[in-house]
Amino acid sequence: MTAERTSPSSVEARFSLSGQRPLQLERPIVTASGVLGFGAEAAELVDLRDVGLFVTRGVSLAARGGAGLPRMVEVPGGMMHAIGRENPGVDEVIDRHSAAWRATPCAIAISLVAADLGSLGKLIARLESRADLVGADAYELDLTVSSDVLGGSRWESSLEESTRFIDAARDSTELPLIVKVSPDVVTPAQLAGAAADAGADLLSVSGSPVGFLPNRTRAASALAEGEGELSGPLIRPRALAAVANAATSGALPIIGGGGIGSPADALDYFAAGADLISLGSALWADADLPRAVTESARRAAASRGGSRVADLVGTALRRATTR
Amino acid sequence: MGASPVTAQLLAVGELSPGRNTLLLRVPELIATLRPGHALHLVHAEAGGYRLRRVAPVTKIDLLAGSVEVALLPRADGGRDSLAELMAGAQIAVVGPIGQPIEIDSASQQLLIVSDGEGFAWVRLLAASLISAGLSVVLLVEARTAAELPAASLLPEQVEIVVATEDGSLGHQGSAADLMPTYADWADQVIASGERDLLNAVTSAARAASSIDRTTAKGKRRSRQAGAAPWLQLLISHEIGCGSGVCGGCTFSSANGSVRLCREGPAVSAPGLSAGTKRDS
Repeated sequence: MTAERTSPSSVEARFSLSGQRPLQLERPIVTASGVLGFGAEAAELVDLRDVGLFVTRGVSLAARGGAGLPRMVEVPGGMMHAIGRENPGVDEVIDRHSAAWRATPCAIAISLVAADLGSLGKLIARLESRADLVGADAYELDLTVSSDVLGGSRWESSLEESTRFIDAARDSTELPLIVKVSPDVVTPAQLAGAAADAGADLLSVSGSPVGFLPNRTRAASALAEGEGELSGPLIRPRALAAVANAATSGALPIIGGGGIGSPADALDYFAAGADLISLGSALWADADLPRAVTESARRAAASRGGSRVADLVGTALRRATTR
Repeated sequence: MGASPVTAQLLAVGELSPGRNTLLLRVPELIATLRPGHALHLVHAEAGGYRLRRVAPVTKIDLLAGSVEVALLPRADGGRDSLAELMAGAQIAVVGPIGQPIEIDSASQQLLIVSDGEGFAWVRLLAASLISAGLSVVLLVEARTAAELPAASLLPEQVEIVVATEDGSLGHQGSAADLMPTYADWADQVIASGERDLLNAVTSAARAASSIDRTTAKGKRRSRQAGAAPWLQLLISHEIGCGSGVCGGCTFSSANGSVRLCREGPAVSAPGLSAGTKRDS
């Protein structure tokens, strides 16, 4: 006698955050900040009906000039970029893109770029003052941004300053807060706990770790900025380790990403403890990846007799602890 | 959705200059749309299946054969591009055209192209198409040594080639930009392509030329019409990115504003040297 198998199409792929700040995503897919722009152009690249949460490119209070060229180079196993969080400032971004946000068939998170707490508070206040236009479902607090108080190091390099940053944001809005860090973060599990205590609702372990590469044919760095942010398969094992570490805290639901180029890669992130999958530069070459990841997750859950994609979350961690 | 990739068949791997490989592709779906200044994005899977969209400037078009030659840009890590290891017959996903054609004014008859070894890939097709259209072309080309120069046979013989080498092993010792004063007044338009140092030097030389009223032995003055194509255009190379203008990976910021090289580029008008600046002054 064989157990009745679940049909993949009946497997629930929705993600829900309940409580004071609810957030419902129709798909377990998040687009990484920066990859698809601010919004108006995103639908030209991927079908956003296959996406649960679209995260905008980073938005700051005032306009930020970008880095010099080259901003992006290929490296063994991936790419390295230094864009400099270039953006025209919050007001112009709202003017240009809010109509597209309101028409988007998935949830929207505005990625916030701030180097100090004062500008973070003003940035959120500006967005909240135009909330009817913006229509955001959540904010992403990007802790991979340089902090003035840390002398240019990333917010995520200090647990204390990261907590202050999240606190300041929590005091400014009732929207769900997604805290984004990279595998370079100081102890993911500790940060997850501190972020939860400070009022964060999700932890996104999908940011890019720092890299550096000399240009071997010139006496210069490969990127004009010197250091850059790494993406691609070369970071996947590190990102998976950070996801697994954060997941052990059980403090927050986790968005996991970094170097995902195929549905099988995404299943690794579920297994390591991610509740949601962040897709990045692979979308440039494979616009169908969001749909493929969801379908693959449904099939994987069904093959194990599960009824929800959430049944895949943390399966590798459970095996590790029972060994 | 963005432009979908089409499948190109690799016909041959060639070389523009030592270590600078080209791919000859059969890609009939795109060939009629390609112009000088355009690139293709090669969607290439690295080991492990991860794919990036790599920029490859179009260097030659053969309409009769249905083939397009593109250049593989040098990797920052100095490594050989894995695409150059592919065998004839391999299939490569390509997206294009990327960017805008280089703007040549209908009144221009004499074109000056300034290039280094890196930038040559972006101007080879331009030089050939200008000659086909009956225009006069001078190419000032520089390299570190004579051995690193692109072969003259890559261009139509009507192109006047003037060489500069850093070590003096061939032609003028120094930069191609040093030769600008001799040709600036002759040129109806100048197209410069290469690394930042060359582009800066060309821009400086052009500024100097615009402020000095002189006539070279080859020179003859013409007035430029308002709205004409920029007199000096800089071709700025970029490696990878989304190809759709959203990722910011190829945004060039200047006093004239921001240019997304994959959309509005690869040519940008030099700051302070926009249309008509030189000739109308």
